[in-house]
Amino acid sequence: MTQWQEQNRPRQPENPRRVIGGFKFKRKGGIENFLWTAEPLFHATLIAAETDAVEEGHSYAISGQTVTVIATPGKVTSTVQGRSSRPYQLELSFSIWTPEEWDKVIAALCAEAIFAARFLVGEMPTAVGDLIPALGIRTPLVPMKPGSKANCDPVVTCTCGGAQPCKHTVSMMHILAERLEEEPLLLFQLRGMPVARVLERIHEKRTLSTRGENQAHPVPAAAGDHALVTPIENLLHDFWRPGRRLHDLESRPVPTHTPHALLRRLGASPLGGRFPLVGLFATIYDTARAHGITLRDRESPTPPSDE
Amino acid sequence: MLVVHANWFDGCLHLWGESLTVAIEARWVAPPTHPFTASPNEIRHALEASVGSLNGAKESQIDLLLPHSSAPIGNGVGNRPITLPSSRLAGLIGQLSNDEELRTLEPTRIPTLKFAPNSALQLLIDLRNLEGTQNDRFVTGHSMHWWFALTQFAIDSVIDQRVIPTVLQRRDGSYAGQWRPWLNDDDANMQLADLLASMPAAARAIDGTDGNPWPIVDSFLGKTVDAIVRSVLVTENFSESIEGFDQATDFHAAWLSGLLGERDEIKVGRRSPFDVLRDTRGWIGVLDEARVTTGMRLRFEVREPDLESNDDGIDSTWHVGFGLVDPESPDTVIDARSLFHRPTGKRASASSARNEELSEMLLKELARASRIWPELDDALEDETPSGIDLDTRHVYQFMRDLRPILLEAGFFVEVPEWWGESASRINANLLIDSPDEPPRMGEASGSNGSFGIGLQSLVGYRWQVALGSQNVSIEMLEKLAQRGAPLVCVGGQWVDLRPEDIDSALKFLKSHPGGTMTLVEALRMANGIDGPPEALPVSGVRATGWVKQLLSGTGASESFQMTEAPELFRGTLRPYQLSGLSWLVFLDRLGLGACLADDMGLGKTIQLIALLQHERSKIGTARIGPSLLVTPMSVMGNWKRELARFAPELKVHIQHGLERPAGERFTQIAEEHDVVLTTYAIVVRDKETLQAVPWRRVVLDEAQYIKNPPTKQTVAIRSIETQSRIALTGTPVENRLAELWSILEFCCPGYLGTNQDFRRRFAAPIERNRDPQTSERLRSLVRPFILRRLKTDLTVIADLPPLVESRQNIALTDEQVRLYDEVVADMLKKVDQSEGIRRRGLVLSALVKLKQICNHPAHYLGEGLSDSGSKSHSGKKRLLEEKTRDVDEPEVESNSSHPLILPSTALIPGRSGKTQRLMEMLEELLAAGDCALIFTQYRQMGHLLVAMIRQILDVEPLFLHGGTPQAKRDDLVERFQKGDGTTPIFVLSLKAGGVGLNLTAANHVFHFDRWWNPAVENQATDRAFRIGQTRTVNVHKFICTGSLEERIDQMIEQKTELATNIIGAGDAWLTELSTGQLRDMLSLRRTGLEGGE
Repeated sequence: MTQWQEQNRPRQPENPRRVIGGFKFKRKGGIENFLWTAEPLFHATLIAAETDAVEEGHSYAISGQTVTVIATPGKVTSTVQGRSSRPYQLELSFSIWTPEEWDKVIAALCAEAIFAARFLVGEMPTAVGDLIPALGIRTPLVPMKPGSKANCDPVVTCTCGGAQPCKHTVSMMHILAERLEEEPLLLFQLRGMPVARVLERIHEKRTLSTRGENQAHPVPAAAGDHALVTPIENLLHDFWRPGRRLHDLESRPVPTHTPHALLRRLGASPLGGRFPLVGLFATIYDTARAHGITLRDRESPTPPSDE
Repeated sequence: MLVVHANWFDGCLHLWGESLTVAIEARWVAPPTHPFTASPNEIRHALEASVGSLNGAKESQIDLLLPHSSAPIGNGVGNRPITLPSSRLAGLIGQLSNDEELRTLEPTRIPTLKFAPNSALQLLIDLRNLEGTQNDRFVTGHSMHWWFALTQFAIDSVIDQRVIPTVLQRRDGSYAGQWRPWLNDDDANMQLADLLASMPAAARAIDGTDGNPWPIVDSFLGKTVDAIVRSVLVTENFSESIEGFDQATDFHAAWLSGLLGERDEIKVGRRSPFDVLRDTRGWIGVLDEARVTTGMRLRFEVREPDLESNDDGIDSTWHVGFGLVDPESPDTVIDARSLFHRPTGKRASASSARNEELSEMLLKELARASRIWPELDDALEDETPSGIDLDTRHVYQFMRDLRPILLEAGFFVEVPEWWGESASRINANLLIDSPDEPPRMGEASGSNGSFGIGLQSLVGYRWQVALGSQNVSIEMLEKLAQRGAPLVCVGGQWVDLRPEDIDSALKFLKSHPGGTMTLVEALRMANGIDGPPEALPVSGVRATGWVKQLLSGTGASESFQMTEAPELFRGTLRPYQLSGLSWLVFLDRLGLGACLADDMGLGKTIQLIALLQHERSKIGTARIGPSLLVTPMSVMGNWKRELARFAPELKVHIQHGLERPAGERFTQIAEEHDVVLTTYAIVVRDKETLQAVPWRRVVLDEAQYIKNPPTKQTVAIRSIETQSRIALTGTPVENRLAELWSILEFCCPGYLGTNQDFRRRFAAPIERNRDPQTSERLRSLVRPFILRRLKTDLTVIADLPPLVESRQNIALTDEQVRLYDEVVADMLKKVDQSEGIRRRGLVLSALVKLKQICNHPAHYLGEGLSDSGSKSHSGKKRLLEEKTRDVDEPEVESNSSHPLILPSTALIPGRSGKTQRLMEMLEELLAAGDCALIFTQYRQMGHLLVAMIRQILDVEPLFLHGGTPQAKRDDLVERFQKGDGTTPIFVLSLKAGGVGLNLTAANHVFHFDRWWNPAVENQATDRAFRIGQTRTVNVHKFICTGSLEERIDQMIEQKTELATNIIGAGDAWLTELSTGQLRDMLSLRRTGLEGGE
């Protein structure tokens, strides 16, 4: 809607102050049949609210009184313009998952490729909602107990000071529900982790781990070179002897030793600790080298001699 | 006796064994359990005597897929597949080869001893060190050699500090620290590729896996390298260094907790352990940057300063210029200066866009390099960095310390040409003065009598120290030492002048003012033994006079005095043989030992004969001592024949047989002859008799016979005093260190030091550490005394005809003589009383028997052999046992009635002169990397040869005979022609393999038994000697001296009238001969050479 239309709206003194550029609720289906990601919270809010608050909140939502809705991990803050000159500040504090719970969630989300694929196009598969209680996590994916008490999810406060849910809450819930329907992954953020980070962790975990095993070092090129290897079935007549290339290995010149070559190429450590890592490693490499030489030149027990 | 094998499974080494005794008795009927494996206790028992207690090992088991045969030879094993022995065991027990069988893989359960990584590693090292030593409890299977190589690779990565601390996420989601080799650099990746490609099937045939080598190698390297590093970190209490750090908040501490202590678990507090994994990945990934980054690479170029003529450059400024190169074509360099220079003119905008792209690359590369070389950051402060100025000290550091690391990290570093050259280091020169004419034999009278000169003769020497190519005085060195500069310009040439080098040079010069020393001291010093400290490399030995000749050898013809072929020599010496003769004459005259190690087929024998003849003709009728020629029994006949052929005027005494002279009578006889020919065995028996003679020289043929130092034989041979010593061998002695020491200890006693000393100083660094410097030093040390020409040498190749034929005249053993006489007598008795077809049959069957006897007694006696390949107990065997009961026969026991294996008696090469000689020659040519065809007329003999070659030489020969199906033939030919060294020997029956095949991979052809028709033999020879053959083909025809084989050979050679009848007629003509003619034709003619050792 343009600014011109805003300006031409008939003025009603009973009405709240006009807001320019506020969020206007303009969902096609009105307030009916929100998707599962949004419905429980919205529905619970309407049920808990007084009829007046519902009606006024609804018209607030339609006329765009909701100035801001900002979601941060575990929190949603909002500003709603009422009749008073100063807009009301709302804060919704959601129950968040602990890091351990998040580890479980991420691991579970990685287990099936379809989750990651859906997340990438911004969808939240319904199975995710079912997954959470199955992991033994008590806080569900979708919040559904709004209120002012400490054990509510979310705990809602509004600077209007009225009974909760107040009309301002109802108004902003319209907008939040609409968002949760369009961007269901926002639910992760409400549970404590930015969506981008969730996707990143899933991506890391999935691309880096196969069958749950993973490592910090790259696999050398030769490991994947299948042209090198003769299948066992083709070696039934030469089953026990090493192949010809062992001879090549043994005749290759030994590269000259450069002290700490690898360590110096590695440079400073990336792990942000206070630990003097490089110095310690230098000592470790020297100690290990000395031990290796002892091992290599190890005098083995003398064989029985015929002398 | 066990054959020991290893597999890596589930992070542990599983050692298992095949029991030889059980294999000989068992029927091999297999799955699911292996029919002849050793129990864990037996393995323990067999190994503990050699490698000490195996208390750490646990009993376990693994499931392997092993080759089985579903078409067994012999009877009584039913339809179930039988487990085939390993290649090593097959050789030991004399398994019959059967190429019609179908091989399949069957899962087989095997009891094992299981070792954790740390003890696994020590065990593998111990077993590796035991390789090549005698041991009657176990031998290692063929795949073990590969495990030793992998072990070495793991240890080397620790020694070379090429290990990384990595983080692993386990299947259960826990995290662990691990030390493991960094395998992504080119060198390591190449070595890894070698290991993966050569991993034996047996080592990866773990049931339930796909046989991919990588997971096994990955686990082995990770586990063992971690065990090596961790064990020492634990012993030295490295985990103390993270005490006091909170692992919950400090990532380093958490990470290190899994790397320094006994436990590898990484426990991080609140943050995700995955972050440790990710950050470590990022860190380690730095190592791989160069590979991952595409585009241009940074190139450093060190530019020398311009100097005034008398400037020593110590205080000058060098410039290291930056540039970019495309790694695909590193010759095209884009200088950084041109990038920041703004172009003008029409094409300015297009090229400046490109320039901007390139300068961005340059900056990125500089940033990457500054991680390794922090000083670069200074250069980056400049907006247009094109280079960095360094003083002499820093540029030295850059070239010495940083360059290798920058190169590894994928940068290009261009340094002045002289850098790294030994000529630009401080070095020492040894000057040896000797007169032009060598001292003559007998002139110099040393304290030890006739052996007075040679290695003990005195030569003048002094040392000179040079900087680059300029000699410097002690005073000058002292002056330089005071300045303490690492690089100095002397006479326009830069020299890498390490202060520690100057110190050792000064110390050395002051303690070695020069003077005289013995030749042996001089040569050892010249090669860095008992000489200057390592920091002062000996850059060269300059000699005058005869020592110069000795050092340059035959290579430098202008300084080497050539000898002409002796006038009486009945033949022609090829040019390389003439230079060999000259070399022998030269060393011999000096009383220096010589080892002539020419490739087989180049004529070592005639070079030696020419030497003997040369000496006789020089000295005229004057008396000199006789030469003692020691040979294996099998080649004595050859020597006798060759001596008579090329130098008939030389008087030869053969010291052999029961009736040989002893004591004073022998001394007298020896002194009346030029040459005394005897065998290694006789030297041991007649030591005292031989020691009494004042020998002119002792010559050993097939000198590899004395390769085992502590044997009685070796001791006896060394104890014979003589003026000079010569060893002949065809094996590449330089590469077989134990043999090299032993042979040189004979030729040049004391030259290489004691055996222990030699092992410590040379063998261990060369064999274990593949140290190229030590290897080169040894080569240069022995060079004056070893002459080895290869058939492939350019100088030789020009002299060699494409085909060289030689006859091997081989004496029969006592057992062969007895059997031969018996058959002839029996036949002559019977033919007298019969006629017609019966008489003909008798003659023909006797002929076959005689040929079989010439081949091997087991062939004639049918030990373990029949046409179907299964064992038959013939009456002939019993006959032999009765006859020989009272004779001094080597004790042989028939130990097997197994359908698939030959009795051990059949596999003794020493029972036949031919097989004995064949094994010697094959050993020699295998050592030289050659390939051979062996033709025999008899399939049974082929079986015997195959089993014998397997057992004695430990290679798997190919075998083709009339029963080999066509598809299999093609496969055999293809495997042989591949020429990859895995199948160097091909045994063929003359009829099946004599025509049609193309076997040009072979450069030796053996005719093990003779055919009446030379055309048939030639046709067989042509399998190798045909288009596509690039090397000289050596044809060896085996002939038993005195037997009908020799008679027939002579007739064919002399093209007698009789011979024309023979050719094409097969054996039939013989049947028409009268009894008298038959006696004449077939009876054994005694030559005095019969009888084994």
